[in-house]
Amino acid sequence: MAHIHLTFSPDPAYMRTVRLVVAAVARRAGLGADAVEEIRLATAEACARAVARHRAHRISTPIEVSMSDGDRFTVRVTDHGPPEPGIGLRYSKGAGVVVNDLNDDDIPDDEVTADMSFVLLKGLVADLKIAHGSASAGTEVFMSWPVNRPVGR
Amino acid sequence: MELSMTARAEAGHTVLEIGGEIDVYTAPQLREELQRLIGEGATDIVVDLSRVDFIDSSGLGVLAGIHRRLRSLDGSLRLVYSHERLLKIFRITGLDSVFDIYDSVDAATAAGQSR
Repeated sequence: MAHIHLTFSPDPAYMRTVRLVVAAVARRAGLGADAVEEIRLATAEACARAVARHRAHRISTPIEVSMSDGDRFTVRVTDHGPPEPGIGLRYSKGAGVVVNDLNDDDIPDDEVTADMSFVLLKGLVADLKIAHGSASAGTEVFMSWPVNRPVGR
Repeated sequence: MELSMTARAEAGHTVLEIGGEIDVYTAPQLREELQRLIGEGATDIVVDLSRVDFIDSSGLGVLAGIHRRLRSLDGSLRLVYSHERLLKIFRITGLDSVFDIYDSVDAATAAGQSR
């Protein structure tokens, strides 16, 4: 089982690098083109959220991305932001939330984008967990996908 | 190349052709360009995403914000793309029911003229 660990400064300029790495690792693990695309986008969403949290709270420590390709391909994105009180509510919103948001002019654009990010994550990843650590430990977004390797490999 | 943008006037519309990747790093450039076009008086805008390789929620957020802005100006935002990669993202977020989506710039501007 291979492990790849990546840490990067909380700067949007590095998001493209993260996408290139995760796509290369997923491809190497034997995942098909559609799965690689899903993993690339889901990891990008999780990392963009982490970068936004670090920047909002002026945290300069790096964000961590761990990938491994055991029975399932897993990606773990860990940030060091403080607990996020509204996260449970945002996470529980259904897929129709984006359309509802857009019809309500009182909801600011960045709230719409944040809801969109969660809808995308939930829509792309069947196995998605968001864990809250202690106050200093931040949050961890855990995602996994099945790896269908050819028999005998 | 991360993001390229070319604006032109076509059939009564402002067409913005985009190439590259729209993410949390490049989305602000897209927002600025669209706001600049609206500031210059564009109200019927076609955004051609045919050559976009990647878009995340920050890019979708920019398009959603511009859609709202143009709606308040009684204008229109039409999107052009046909590849499955983007279709899926718009489907998951429900944005396929919000935006008017066409598979070519010609189809988008023709729809605008018959409005």
